[in-house]
Amino acid sequence: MDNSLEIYSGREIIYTNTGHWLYPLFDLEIFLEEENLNIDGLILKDKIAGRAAASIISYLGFKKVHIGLLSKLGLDVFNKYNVEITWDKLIDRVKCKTESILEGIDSIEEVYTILKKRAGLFHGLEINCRELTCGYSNIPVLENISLTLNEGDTLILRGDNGSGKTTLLKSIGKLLPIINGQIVFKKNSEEYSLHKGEIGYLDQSRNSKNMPILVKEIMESTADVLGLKGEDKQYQIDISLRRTGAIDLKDKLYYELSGGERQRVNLARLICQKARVFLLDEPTTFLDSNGIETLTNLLKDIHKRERPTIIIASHDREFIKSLGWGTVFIQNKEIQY
Amino acid sequence: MLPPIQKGLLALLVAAIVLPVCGIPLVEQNLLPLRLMLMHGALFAGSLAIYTGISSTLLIVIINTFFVIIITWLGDKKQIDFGRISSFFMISSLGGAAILTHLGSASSQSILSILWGSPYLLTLPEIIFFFFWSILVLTLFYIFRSRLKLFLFDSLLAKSLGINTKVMNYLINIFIGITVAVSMKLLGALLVDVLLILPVVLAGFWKKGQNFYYKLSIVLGLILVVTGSFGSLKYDLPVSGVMAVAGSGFFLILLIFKEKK
Repeated sequence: MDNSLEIYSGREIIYTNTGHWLYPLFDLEIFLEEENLNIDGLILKDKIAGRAAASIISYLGFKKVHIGLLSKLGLDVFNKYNVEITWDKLIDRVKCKTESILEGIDSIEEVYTILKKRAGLFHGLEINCRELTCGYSNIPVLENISLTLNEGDTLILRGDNGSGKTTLLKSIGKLLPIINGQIVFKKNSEEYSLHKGEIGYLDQSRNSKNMPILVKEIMESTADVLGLKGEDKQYQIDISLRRTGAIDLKDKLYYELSGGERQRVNLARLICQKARVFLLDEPTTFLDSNGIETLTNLLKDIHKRERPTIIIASHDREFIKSLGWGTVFIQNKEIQY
Repeated sequence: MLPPIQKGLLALLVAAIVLPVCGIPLVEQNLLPLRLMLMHGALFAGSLAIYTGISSTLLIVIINTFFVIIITWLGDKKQIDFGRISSFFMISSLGGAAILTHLGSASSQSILSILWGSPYLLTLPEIIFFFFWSILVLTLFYIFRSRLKLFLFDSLLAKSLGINTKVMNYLINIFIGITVAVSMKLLGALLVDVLLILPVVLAGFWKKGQNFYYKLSIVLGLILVVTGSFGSLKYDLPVSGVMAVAGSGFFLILLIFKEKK
């Protein structure tokens, strides 16, 4: 086996990767998504696998795997997830720091998250609001609030109408000038200068116009503004729409879509613009129960995979409960934990 | 030197392309009061032109641009409703026009002729100016088409993508304002109304996206011009009237047979 990682469909090699550490597996994840392949019929061959690689392979859903050099910890993982495994050589453990970091962690999702963060593939930004006062026309709606979210964190803002949820979201999204204080974005603990589109803002109520615009036109215009061109642009649009199950809506008029379909498109747009921070203002407005379920599942999935930092303003109790993310309450111009 | 009819037809064909393109943001942003305000602004500027002896085209452009900047600024800074500010300017400019007409002892007919315009009486410099101005407007619309689409679709979304929506708003209003003001002087108010609004409203019956919307609006504008011009020449009727009647008839047919419940 010349390549580190090989994927077979029958006897045909459909993917190879000679990268280091766990990166070939994270690349493979993207490849599988792009190609929309049925993983059941595929065979994965890798040179070496410890517990970390075994966890990712199992997480991706492979059922037939051959490993050159396999650790016993890795074998345990494969067996736990009923993966049909063969190997050339079995060893006690792979000498790698990652193996020891994962000790005592049972959940495969948790292992995946830890590894993705170690790989630097977390998309989200750290957000620090320091003694922030924000409002409209210099009239404060929120005063002296401090709030910190780590990279890839999630937070739900609760509060009555007019309490300042939208004001805070818009201030973080730089859509409203702040009156006092600071909002600092960080990546890997260093201050980060935002690029175009890295903050994605969704406001369901504003998208109710009956303007005849196609989904693909929204996506293409977004990609144009961000400077994407040619094949790159089409690739990014297609992968984003596929990612949220909105690819079939591409040629439809936006305003003719149901609430749930609109949210699929909106989230695809945020993925297309490679938003590192998702700010969602009352995203369940106008959604029926099916739409809310779809949105919940999509948000959970996006957060699990891309790990953006997500802040949602909502007072929809069912939605908040089903997401199961941390909440804060905004009242009397301040945040109550 | 082109004969008057060919010059007029040329100006109308250019207008049939540029006016529907300006009409889409006007309709989508519900800026119809702006158009009415521009018409009243043209009346005031016309009266001032007669009173002072300065070129009416120049005054129409300057005064209407000033009005557009003021109402855009008031709407942006003070959040005042567009319709209310436009109403103020409509009434005040009409009042100003009445005073100037009286002071200048000008006949109301000569003032109103500004609104009716006459494409067949255009001078070559007027046609050349209109042609280059239209080229500039169309080029800007084309270059900034993606930004414009997003801005018209959802200005907050546009802002979140780094588009300067405040500048965009000013530019759209100013460019549309000047185009409409110039066209009004050269072609007449009714012709501008017909070419600015009707093709867009008609194209709106076929909902196939923004690119199609723009293309169909232009095609319908050209059809209206050709129909109006030939109708006008054949039956010796005013071109704007023929276009308005033909377009309205088409609108009625579509409303009955194509509008969904």
